[in-house]
Amino acid sequence: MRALEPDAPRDATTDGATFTQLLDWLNAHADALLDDPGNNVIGVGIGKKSAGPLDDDSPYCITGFVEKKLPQTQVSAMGVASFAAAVASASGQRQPKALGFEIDVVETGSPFVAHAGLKVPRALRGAHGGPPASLDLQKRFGLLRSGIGITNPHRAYPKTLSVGTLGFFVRDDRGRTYLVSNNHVIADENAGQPGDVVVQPGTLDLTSSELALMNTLAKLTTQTGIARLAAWVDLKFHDPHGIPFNAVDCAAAELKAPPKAPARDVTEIARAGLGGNIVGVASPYTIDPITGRVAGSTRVCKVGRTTGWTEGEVTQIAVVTDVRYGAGLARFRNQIGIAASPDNTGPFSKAGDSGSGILDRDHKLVGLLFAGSENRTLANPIQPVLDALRIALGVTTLDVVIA
Amino acid sequence: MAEAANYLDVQRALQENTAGIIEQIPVSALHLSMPVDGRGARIHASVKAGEKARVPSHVDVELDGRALSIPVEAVADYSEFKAY
Repeated sequence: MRALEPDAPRDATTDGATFTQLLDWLNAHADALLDDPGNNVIGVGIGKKSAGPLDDDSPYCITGFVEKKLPQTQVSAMGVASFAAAVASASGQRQPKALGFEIDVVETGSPFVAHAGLKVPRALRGAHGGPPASLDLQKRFGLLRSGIGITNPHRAYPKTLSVGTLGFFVRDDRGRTYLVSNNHVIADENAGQPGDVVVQPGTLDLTSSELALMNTLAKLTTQTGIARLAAWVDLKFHDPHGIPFNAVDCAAAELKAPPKAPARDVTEIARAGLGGNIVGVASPYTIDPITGRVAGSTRVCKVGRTTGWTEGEVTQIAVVTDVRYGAGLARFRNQIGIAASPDNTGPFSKAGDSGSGILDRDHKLVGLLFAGSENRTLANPIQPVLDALRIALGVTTLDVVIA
Repeated sequence: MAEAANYLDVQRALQENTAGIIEQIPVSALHLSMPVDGRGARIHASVKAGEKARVPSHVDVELDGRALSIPVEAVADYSEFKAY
């Protein structure tokens, strides 16, 4: 183990260690730091010494996360190593001042936990909805567009409330228009029935008054229905006989509201949230066999019901992983891994963003968001989603609605 | 003698030989992926803390009749993905 060399190259703009150097340090020492029971660090990362936005002028630093910041005297009295001492120890240095970089401690207030899925018993309403997104995509939209909150309330409402995101719209060779989201958002993890009404906004985003006024499924779908479930791709879960692979978590609902439902305007369905338009479908990522250079824009963004507009970077392709659903574990392969870009002050996605369309910097669709962990978002590549839905719908062509 | 795999081989192996690769990594839970950071063709295996030592340094696969060896980079950063 080693600290940064004193004469290691510095980032001229920050007068501290470069981001890459700190990343190397984290890769080498973060495990040891977190595994050491002699400190109270629950996480470690890279931040700004100011603890502010990543684009401010202060130097990058190694940031330690603790549940509660304590005075030095109390830390010493408890026999716990200070963050500075712990970092120095993990680096093989005797003194914190020998480190070639800045450090900082951030109080989290609680341990990190994975987000609960946004399908909750009605009694817990309010505990999970959280504050409105910066772009308020949780409310009723007269003008339908991508990125707004939807759900399939059948089999759950009014006992359980839920919400996910409307990803984008497609049109088949007979001129029928469908909204696209995840199976687990609008097809109830394979339990959906053709013709189920998809509502907007999601039931978790209704106010108490709205819930009281629409206290039955029939009243709810009459007032807020926008589409009817048309097709989905079954999720295959781990079972005693083996572990099948999944490629997509997707479903389509035809824009066909219940007879008495107030009409919605569909003239802006190529628009992503309150931002720009979806302009096409990106080519699948290809990779140079020798250099590993990826052809295509890896800078991506999405509009989702919970976190609104966020930007990220595709950091992994060909991802193989298990994903936790209410009905069990499902194994996926050939997925896209996305991390929030430094432009973001928060994660790329959170619970309730499932179903969001992932757009590249040219606003072409590259994927369909369906899951996340503490620091990564997973998306299905877009082409398998379109191919699978075309087959599931039994249509000849299926094109994304673009501006 | 197995050939060294290039990026395209790794991408294809993860899609076409997934079960065979997983069998060679005896851990309780993992994510596999191909990093696109330009630091070499390899499989990134995210595993639980304490299981890193059980990850082999490489896995062997066969693609189009070619025997390939793919380096595996093990990182103890496994965190379960949830559909949300």
